Amino acid sequence: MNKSLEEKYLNVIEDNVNVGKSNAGIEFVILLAGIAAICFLIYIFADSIGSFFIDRMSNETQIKIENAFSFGTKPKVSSKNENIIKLENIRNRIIPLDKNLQGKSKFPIYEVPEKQINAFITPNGNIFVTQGLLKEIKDEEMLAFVLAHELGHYAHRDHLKSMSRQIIAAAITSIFASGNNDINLTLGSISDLNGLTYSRKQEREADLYANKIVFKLYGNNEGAVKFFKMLEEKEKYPEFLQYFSTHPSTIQRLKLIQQES
Amino acid sequence: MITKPPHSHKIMMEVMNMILTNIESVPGMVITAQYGLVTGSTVRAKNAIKDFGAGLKNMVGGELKSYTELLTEARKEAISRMEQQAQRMGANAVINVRLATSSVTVGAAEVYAYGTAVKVEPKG
Amino acid sequence: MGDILLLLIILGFTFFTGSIIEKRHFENIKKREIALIRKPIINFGAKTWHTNKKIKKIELVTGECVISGDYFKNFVAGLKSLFGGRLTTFESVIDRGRREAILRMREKARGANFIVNARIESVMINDTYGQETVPQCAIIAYGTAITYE
Repeated sequence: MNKSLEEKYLNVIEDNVNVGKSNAGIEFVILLAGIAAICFLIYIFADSIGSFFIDRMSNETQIKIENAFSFGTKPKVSSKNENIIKLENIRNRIIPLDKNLQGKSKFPIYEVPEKQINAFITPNGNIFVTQGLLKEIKDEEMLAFVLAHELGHYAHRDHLKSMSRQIIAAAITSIFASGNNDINLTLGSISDLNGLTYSRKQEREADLYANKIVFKLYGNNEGAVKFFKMLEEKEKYPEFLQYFSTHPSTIQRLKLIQQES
Repeated sequence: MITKPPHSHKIMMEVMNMILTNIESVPGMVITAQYGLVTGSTVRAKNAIKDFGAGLKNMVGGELKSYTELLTEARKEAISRMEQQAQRMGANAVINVRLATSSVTVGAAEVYAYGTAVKVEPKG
Repeated sequence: MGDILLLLIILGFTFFTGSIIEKRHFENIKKREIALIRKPIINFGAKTWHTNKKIKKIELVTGECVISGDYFKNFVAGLKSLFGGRLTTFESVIDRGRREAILRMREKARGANFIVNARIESVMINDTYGQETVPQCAIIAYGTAITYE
């Protein structure tokens, strides 16, 4: 065997044509970026479809869907204390201000025996307020802001929107993942992050809505500002954690409210 | 000592006039030199949308066009990689070419082509 | 969130171990191939092998190898198959396995001058439809070694 042939053999051994020339790590990063982009597009798609139909939905259908999700159960009403009555009075002043809130649920208010400061509204319009919140907040303007925020979620049909987009996105991702658990997990986590971003957007919109309501009621938004300042004192999370949370950081919410006034 | 050859894609265009047979000789030609085994393999997949379509097609049966296409692509690539190896050795034919496939994962095709690189000259 | 963290840790770990193992394996294969550079194998010749030299020994030689890709490679290939195209991470695994099997066959025929009519077969030895498992490929190479006197 002559020398030049040997060199050719060496060449073939050294430069392997059977393996694509790409670094697995770089490929991994590029693929993840591509998938994140695709998830993002899917979410925009699911979002626009969901909001399109839900915004045009009639009130009767909304009430039907809400009742279907609440399974017809009603929480037991404990004896009404003065706090709840106070809240109900505020609620009765808020409802006439917005057409979207009229002629639907009666928005009953219930107390939850928990120490944290929290309030939430179920899809069929039941408002729950924690004992912690009632204990901490006595100021009427602050309570009005909290109530208006929750009612804002209802008026924007946020529950239905987030439900619809989750269903559409889950259907599309399950087609893509086709049973592979790892891929499913990755796609799920990316869409969770997307969902959190969306949830923060909804919270901001509800804040703005509540801000307007408070302005109409009292002519200023001091209640809102006071409420966030109080929250800020209680919370000790670093600000970047908001990207993993359903709510924007309190500082940002405060800024948003102050810009509006 | 070893000069880096140009990138594979460029060679893919240049490989031409390589005689491929799956018998032990090239009819009408004489083998003048043997260079040994040359191999080419590839693993390819189709995108998720086509996988989904093929899954639906499975219910009614018939040819799965996207997977046929996938196998064609994989076969072409494996053979062209084998040809590149043969060309670098200075051969002008690959004889006794065999193709082997195995299923690596769902929806992916793996094709392996191998044969003996030789130099052939016309008889007489 | 815990699931995805665990997944990331496993991916990072298997990326490093996998790439170190692959690099070493390729270097090892190259070294052995260069050592055997003067012993060609061909996959034809059973019927047309003519030689004037006297033949001392004819023997069937085989070489086997079972190889699997690591978790990271499997994951990247899974992502890549969403978009379609070449699954380069599997290509390198299968190429390693094939070359290893061929090398083992050639090393068994160290004294021989030629290996004729070599065949290479591969088979998946795990359940390919079990999505959780990393694919394992079994490769067997066999041929006839011819030794001249």
